[in-house]
Amino acid sequence: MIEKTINFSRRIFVEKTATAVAGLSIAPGVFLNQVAQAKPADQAVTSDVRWGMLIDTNKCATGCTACVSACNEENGIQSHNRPATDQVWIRKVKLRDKQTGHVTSLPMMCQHCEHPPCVDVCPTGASMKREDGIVLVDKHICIGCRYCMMACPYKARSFAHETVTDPKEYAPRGKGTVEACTLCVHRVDEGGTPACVEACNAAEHGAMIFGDLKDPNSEISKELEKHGGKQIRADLNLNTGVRYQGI
Amino acid sequence: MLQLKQLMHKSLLMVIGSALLALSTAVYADGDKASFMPDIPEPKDESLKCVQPEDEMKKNHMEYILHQRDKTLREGVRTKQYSLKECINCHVEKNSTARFGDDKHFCSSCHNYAGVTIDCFQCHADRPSSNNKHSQSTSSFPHYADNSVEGASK
Amino acid sequence: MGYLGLLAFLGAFVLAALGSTYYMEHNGHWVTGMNNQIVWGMPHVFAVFLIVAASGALNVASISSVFNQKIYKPLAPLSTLLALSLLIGGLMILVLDLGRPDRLIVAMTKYNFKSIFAWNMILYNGFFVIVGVYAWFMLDHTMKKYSRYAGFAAFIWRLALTTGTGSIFGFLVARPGYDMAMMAPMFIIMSFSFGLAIYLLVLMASYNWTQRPLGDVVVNRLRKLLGVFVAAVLYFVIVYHLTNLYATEHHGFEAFMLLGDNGGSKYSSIFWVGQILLGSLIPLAMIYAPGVANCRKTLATACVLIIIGGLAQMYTIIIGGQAYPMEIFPGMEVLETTFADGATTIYSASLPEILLGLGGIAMSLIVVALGIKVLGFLPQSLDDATVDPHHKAD
Repeated sequence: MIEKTINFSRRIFVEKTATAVAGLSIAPGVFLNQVAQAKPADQAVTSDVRWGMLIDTNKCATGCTACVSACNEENGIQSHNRPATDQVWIRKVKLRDKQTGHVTSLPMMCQHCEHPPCVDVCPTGASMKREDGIVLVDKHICIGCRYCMMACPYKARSFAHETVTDPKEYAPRGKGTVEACTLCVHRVDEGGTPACVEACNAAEHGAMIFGDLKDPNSEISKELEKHGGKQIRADLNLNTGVRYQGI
Repeated sequence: MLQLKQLMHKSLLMVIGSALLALSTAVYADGDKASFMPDIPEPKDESLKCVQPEDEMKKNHMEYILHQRDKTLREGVRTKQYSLKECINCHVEKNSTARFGDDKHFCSSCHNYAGVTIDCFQCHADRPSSNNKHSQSTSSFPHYADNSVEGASK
Repeated sequence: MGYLGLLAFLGAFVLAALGSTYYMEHNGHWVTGMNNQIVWGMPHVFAVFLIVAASGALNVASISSVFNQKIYKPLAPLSTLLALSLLIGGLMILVLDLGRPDRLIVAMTKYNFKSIFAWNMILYNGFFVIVGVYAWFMLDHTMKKYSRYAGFAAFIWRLALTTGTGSIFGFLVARPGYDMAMMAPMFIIMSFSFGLAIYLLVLMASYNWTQRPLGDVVVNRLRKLLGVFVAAVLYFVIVYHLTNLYATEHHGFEAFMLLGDNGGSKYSSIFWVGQILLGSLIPLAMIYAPGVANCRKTLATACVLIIIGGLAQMYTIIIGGQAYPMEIFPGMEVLETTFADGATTIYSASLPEILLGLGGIAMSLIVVALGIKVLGFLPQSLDDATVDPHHKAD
């Protein structure tokens, strides 16, 4: 009981400070890259921010799958040893330019488009984009028709082919619905960084930067302004939130 | 002769009546009260109040959860007061062996009784996770010693 | 086989479909042939075929009401019955193949109006209402005078419905096999062809089994019409591929579909043998060849081939379009991936998927059989004199 009380007062303290002194790391070691200040929990996200990611493919190491493992761990994605039907939220792809022979390694995931085709085609509105640009599936009203998977130009989405046992409490997932990268929305809402970015930094590659594309002073915006960043399938004019350098 | 017939009728009725009585008491005597009322597990810490009075929660918990569900998913509102995750944090033990569907699980204890099917736990965790490194969920401790405490705005 | 025997036979297929659904939903879709690359499988081939054919089955009624062709008037009620029943069968498959068929109510109550799929839900539901009212007006003597207006509404609606179905594919910008507005008119003309083939088969079979007279005048008119439709589908297919062949970016897809390059041999065989030879050229020959004008067996065979060809066409469009690798990284060769980037996907339909598809067809036929038996959808006689009193035997 004493332990609980201590815990409790610490909890209150933590919550109060988190709201008051926004921007401080909440728990030591959890949020290495504190990007923008965490919004208060009771406020809706706004279009004042747009979350995005910049991937420097020159820093992305061939053969390294730290981001993939971190994503699977974070979101409770288990393999059933059936590659064709297993969930893939993020994957590593190695490419060679047919003209120049240049080889590139990059992580591929939901590109969090400004104009997402998956949202356009979804019959029920389950496929949706938050005000801050994060594209999600509302699994409460997803009927599992898989039309979004037909429409996505990046093959970013997976269908839950099997029963999910013990999902993470902050990443609910279930059989019969479609799912994809959430940009670790549960972390982002508390001022955190997606698990893949954290893992890439922990592996000392630093190939991924996460941040607010609308804040000119954010690391990602500055880097994009300085060195640029390309969209994959830019011809589709989807204005993706995930950008790449070196492709 | 007529009297005998009436007597037979009467005794037959009495036999049937007492048999029915015996049957009904047997039903009562057979099970404990669990056969008639759901045995809802108590929250982990009984000194805490629920986020709304108990009667209100019994009737309308789904409205609160549903409202919060859309707020959280679509708008990123992450107050804890009506979140399903916090229901579970408070009402189910970490590593509880009672899983949703069992009579001993907080949610299914009553839902089984009422015969109301829900699909929340086809996707959501039905117990607090034990090795959760994420800050929001690390606390083993429920959030509401008192309804006035923080977070639950509006 | 008696009437009840027919129902029992078809019912067995419906039960098998329901069993398959339970199996797929209980285990999850990994037990089917589908995967994360080919997300619409064999059930969709059957479902889209039936939905397209449903609209086409309305041809005969449309011709009678909208274009006021008296000879088709007695044939019109069966046309509406068939249209409704084919749509029921198609939608049954579609719904039972959803990841969450238990959420049908969500699909019916929450609409994203930018989604062509959501519009289709409205079009399907509207089709039931409009065609249902149309059938009622035709069969109810007191309402008969309004049947022309209902027929006109149904005609417009069925065109919208097939436009919607075609646009499901036509509006997919990411996939080279789709992404063409021509999908909509092509699906309309496909509906004319498939729907009429099924109509003719049902018409000939039901008149044969109930031993009612069916004259050559009606059948031959429909036969010639069917020939025009089959040729029109072929024309649209040619234009579709010519368009792709002109654009360099689509050459890969055409080589895949027409020549079987890049692992597409299965689809190119189904295209050439199933869709073009069996489904188009041979039926055309059987319809137009001299000397077969009054041969019911030849016509029936042609109709069966058109249906097989239609299913083949759906297979190449739906499965083939997904199997061809999406161009995510233009100008790049994929060296390593864990998600089949740049690779042709293998799909083989599982038994439950096929059973579900067949169950949908069986469901349609059960509705037809019940409708014919219970309601007066079939006129007693369609011999030449009844159909066209001015007809002279030639």
